[in-house]
Amino acid sequence: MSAPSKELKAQELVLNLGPQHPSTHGVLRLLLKLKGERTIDCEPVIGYLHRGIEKLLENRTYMQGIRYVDQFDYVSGMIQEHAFVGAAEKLIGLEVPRRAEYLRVIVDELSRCASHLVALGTYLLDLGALTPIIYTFRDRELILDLLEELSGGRMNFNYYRIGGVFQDVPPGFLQSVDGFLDLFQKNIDEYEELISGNEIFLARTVGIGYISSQMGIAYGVSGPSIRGSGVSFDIRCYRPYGAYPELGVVVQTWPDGDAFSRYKVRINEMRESVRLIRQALDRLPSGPIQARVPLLPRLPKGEAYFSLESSKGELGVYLISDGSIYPYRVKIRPPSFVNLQILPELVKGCTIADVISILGSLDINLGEIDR
Amino acid sequence: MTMRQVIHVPNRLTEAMGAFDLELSPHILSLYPVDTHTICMETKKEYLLSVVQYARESPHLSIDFMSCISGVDMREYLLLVYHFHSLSRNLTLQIKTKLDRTAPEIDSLTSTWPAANWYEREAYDLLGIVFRGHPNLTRILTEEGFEGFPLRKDFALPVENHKEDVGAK
Repeated sequence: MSAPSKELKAQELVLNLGPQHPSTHGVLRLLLKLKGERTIDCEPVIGYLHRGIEKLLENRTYMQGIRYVDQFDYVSGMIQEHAFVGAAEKLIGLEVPRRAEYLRVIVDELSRCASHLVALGTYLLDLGALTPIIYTFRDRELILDLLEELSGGRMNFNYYRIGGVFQDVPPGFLQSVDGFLDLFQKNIDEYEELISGNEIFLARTVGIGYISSQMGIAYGVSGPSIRGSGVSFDIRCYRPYGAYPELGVVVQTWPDGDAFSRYKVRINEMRESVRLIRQALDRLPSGPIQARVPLLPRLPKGEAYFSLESSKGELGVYLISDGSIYPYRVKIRPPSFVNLQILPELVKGCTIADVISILGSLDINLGEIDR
Repeated sequence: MTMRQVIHVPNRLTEAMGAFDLELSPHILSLYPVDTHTICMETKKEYLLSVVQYARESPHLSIDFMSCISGVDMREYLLLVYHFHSLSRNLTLQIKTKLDRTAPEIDSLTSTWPAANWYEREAYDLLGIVFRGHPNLTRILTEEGFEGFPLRKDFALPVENHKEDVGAK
């Protein structure tokens, strides 16, 4: 027998992660090129959830279309509806009643909290902590109950209308929102107590997945992911829409650019959302909730690009109308689609476990990536 | 429905448009403000790279954030619409370029704008626009072996047209 050679051969290995893998947040497939434990290259493969919604929207009237846009980012459907309806309103040049704008702020911010709760729970689950997802989904369920009371749906709301919202709040709704906020504020403190100082969590997130502000801007990263790099880019302030200019959003940033600071931004944004909803409840004006728009709106010829701040980043809708009852073209700018592009840059040289941590910290949603 | 309001154009937009007019006038087919923070311009596809590069370096525009690339089938031609933000100047630049429908080809922006990578792949996948110089121009959203370009208006849908069912004219 010859003596075994002392040098171990290191060869490249291609590892297929997903598309059926719980930590890919849906049906994302990652082709990881590994050298030992280290990742040398990563290629995201998307399209497993492609439903062709942009094409579907061209063959539906505007009212029918609202029901489809819910399914872009299905954990915060209200915000997606707002973007679509907002583009149509911008094209018409329509003034939306104040009460409707305030109701929109309330449902948008509730959705944002729901989305951040999913992000937080699943992120911790990815890192091996099985308990937090039970806590976050407990709170998310309360939000979904509220939105169900308002619109009739848990995830496919169909609540927005061109020129307003579908219906006014049911009796007692505003009190239940207020009661929820009291509870939720305490729960956010509880999350911070459980997670923010946890040694294992810090070891898995601090200094992991560093995005510098220049790199983030070059890659078009938006939302909590770029605000976690200290860039105060939030469409609610950058290009205020609806009732946000009156409420004065405070942009939440964190300077470090790693996975931990993206987590921190999400936590702080939930606090900010609570504050915004409280303000909106206090100032909620009375009056109509719907501008005078025909049931089958025929939009004037033209185009509009409307973008707003969804829970994941800049959600843009580019709408072209040819003057008929159908949109001629609806192009969505999904924030997750752009944010995911930076992943191969971030994971170079990381261990496989860190790839999962970095992916989770970007908070992607395959529903809006694949459309 | 209320009528469209007359746009009041702020100074920084006029400045930005002035910067374009002087330096690049032969490259620009049209230039107009869309709303209080957006400029729209149309350019020929040969000049796209130089126009974008100029807008990036010009102090009146200094675009730094790529928002979106949208491909549109306008039946007679294909249209590419680029949206850029300038985070420092708080304005948006919308650039339109017409492409020939039979052989749509344009230079890729990926070398200077990494964010353009997947947008261009998407436009290639759904509309068949070829981006010269793209590092990996393959289909991105549709499945392997898919044929045709779904977002073109003449793409035959596998189901009957839903528009018939609405009963509206």
